[in-house]
Amino acid sequence: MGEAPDIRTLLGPVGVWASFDSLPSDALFAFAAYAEELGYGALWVNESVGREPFVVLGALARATSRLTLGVGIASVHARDAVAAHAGARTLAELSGGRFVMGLGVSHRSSVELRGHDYGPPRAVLTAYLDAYDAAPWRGPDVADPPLVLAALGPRMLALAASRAAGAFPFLVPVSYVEGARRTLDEAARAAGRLDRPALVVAQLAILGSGPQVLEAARGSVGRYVAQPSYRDNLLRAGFAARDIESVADDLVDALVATGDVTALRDRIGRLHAAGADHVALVPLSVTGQPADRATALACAPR
Amino acid sequence: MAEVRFGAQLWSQASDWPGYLGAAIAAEAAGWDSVWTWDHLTAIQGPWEQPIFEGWLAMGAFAARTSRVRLGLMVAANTFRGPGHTAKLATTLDHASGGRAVLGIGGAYFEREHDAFGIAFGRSQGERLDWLDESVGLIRRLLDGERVDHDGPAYRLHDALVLPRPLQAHLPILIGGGGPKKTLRTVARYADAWNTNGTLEDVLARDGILREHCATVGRDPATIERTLSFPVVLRDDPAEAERAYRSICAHNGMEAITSMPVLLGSPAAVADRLRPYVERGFATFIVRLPAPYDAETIARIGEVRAALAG
Repeated sequence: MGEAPDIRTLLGPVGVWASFDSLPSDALFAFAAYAEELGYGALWVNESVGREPFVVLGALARATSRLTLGVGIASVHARDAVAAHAGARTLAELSGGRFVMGLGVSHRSSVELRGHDYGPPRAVLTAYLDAYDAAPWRGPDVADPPLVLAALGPRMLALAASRAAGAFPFLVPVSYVEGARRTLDEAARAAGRLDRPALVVAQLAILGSGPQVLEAARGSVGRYVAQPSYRDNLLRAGFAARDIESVADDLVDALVATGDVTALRDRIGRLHAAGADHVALVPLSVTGQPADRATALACAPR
Repeated sequence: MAEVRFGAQLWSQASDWPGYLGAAIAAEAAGWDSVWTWDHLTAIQGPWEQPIFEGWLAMGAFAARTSRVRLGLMVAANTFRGPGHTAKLATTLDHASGGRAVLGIGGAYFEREHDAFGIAFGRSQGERLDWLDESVGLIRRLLDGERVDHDGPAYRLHDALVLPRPLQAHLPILIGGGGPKKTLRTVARYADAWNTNGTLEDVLARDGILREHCATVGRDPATIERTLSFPVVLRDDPAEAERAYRSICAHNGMEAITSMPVLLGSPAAVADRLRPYVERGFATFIVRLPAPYDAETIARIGEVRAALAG
C-alpha cells in the first residue's frame, strides 16, 4: 500500500462544501464543474439521510479532473468500518488519488433517526478507528487516502491529532480556530507526531448584506445550533446560552460571513491567519439556498 | 421585459477593408442598434499572423459611413494608451459620429501583442485591473470636462483638459470583463454598461457580485446596462447553421470560437436561447461576428428581435 498523499497539497487553501440534497443531480454536477473552473481545491459532500455520499463522490470522481473530493463528514453509524475504509480506498482509486476521507460520530438525533444508539462520542470513534485501521482490503493496491475527523471539543481534536491527518470542525467562529490550532499542535507533540495535523474549517458565507441576508444567515445557523454538540462548543467559545437559543445577531455574524467580495475574502483570510489550513466554504444564496454560484465566485481562489 | 438591443461586433481580423466596412454599413441597414470592433494589434483567434486592422481608426471610418448606429470598441485595451489619449479618441469619435460614441474598455489580457509591440503588460492580471480602475476614473473626469491633476500610482496627468467636450452630455463608458474582485468593482464605480458572457447561471453569479459592489459604493445597479456577447449564426436549418459556423471558424483558422454559448439556428430558436437572459435584465446582445461577416445573420437579426417581442 502506498503512502498517503499530503493532505494540504490535496485540499489547497479553499474548497467548497455543500448539502446538495435539495438540488437535482444535474445541478450538483454543474456546480462541481463550476467549482473546478473557479480553482477551488476541494469539493466536500455531506452525509445526512439524503443521497448516499460515496455513490455521489464516485460519480463526481469521473466527472471532475482536478478538484479533490471529500466526504464531510461520513457518519460512523452509516456503515461498518470495513465498508467505510473500502469506500475511501475505492474513491481514492476512482479519483486518481484526489480524495480525502472524513469520519465523525454525527449527532444524537441523526443517529437515532438511523435507528442506532448514540454512545459516548470519543469511545465510539476510537473503536471505529481501530476497526478502520485494521480493515481487510482485497482490492487493488491504492494509496490510503488521508483521513480527517469531525471534531469540536479538545478531546476530539486530540483524537484527530493522534489518529488522523487532521480535524474538521464545523460551525465555528474565527476565535475558536486559534484555540483549536493550539490544541491540535499540543496533542500532536504529546503523541510524538512529527508533522502538523491539518485543520479544515467550514465557513458559511452569503454574498450580500441587509436584513434579508441577515435572516438567511440566521436560518442557516439555526438548523445547527440546536444540536447539543454545536451548542456546547459555542458555549465553550464564550457565547451566552441565551444568545445561542435566540440565534442572536452577534452569533450569526461570528458564524456566517456576509457582505461584499472584500468582506468574504477577509473572513477566509482571518481563518487562515488563525491557523486553518483549508477553509471549506459553504456558499449560500441571499435566501439561504445551498451551492450558490455568486458567493462561490466571490470567494474563488482565482 | 427590457427593450432588447443588438450590437454587431465585427472582428477586424482575416478581412479586407471593403468587406469589413461593408459589414458595418450592412448592419446599420439591417436595423442593428450598434456596431463595434475589438482593439487588437495581432489576430487573437486562430494563427496570430492573420491580417488585422486597428480599432479606433476603423471606428472613425464607420462613423463617416453610418448615421444611426452607436459605435464603440468592444473593448479598448487599457494598456495600449493612457487615459488622456483614450478620452481624446472617444471624444473625437463622438464628434465624428454626431454623438454616437460609446467608450468600451477593459483590462487587456493578450500577452503576445504586448510583447510584439513593446507595450507594458504588467506583472499580473491584478495589476492590469488596478491600472484599469485608475484609468477609467480619470477618463470619466476628463470626458466630463474636468481639468485633472493626478499623480499615480500608474498614471500622471498635469492640468489635463479634454476639449471640445463630447457631443453627448454623458458619453457612456462600457467595461468588459467579469473578475469578481476588481473588474466588477470598477464597473460599479464608473460604468454605464457592462459586458460579459457565459451560461445564464454564470452571468447571474457575476451579476450578484456586481450588485454587492454597487451596494458598497452606493450605486443603483439598475443604472448599469447589462450586455452580453455571443457568437450567433442564423439559418432556418440548424444543420446549415452549423455548417456556416464551421466555415466561419475555418476562415479565421479556428476549430471553434472560445466562447459559451454559441447560438446557431433559426431566429426563433436563437430567441428562445436569449429569452432567459432578457427576463433577468440582460437585454443587450453584442453578437460576435467574425469575417467574412455572415450576411444572412446580419440581414435577419430583426427576426430574432420580433421573436423575442412576440
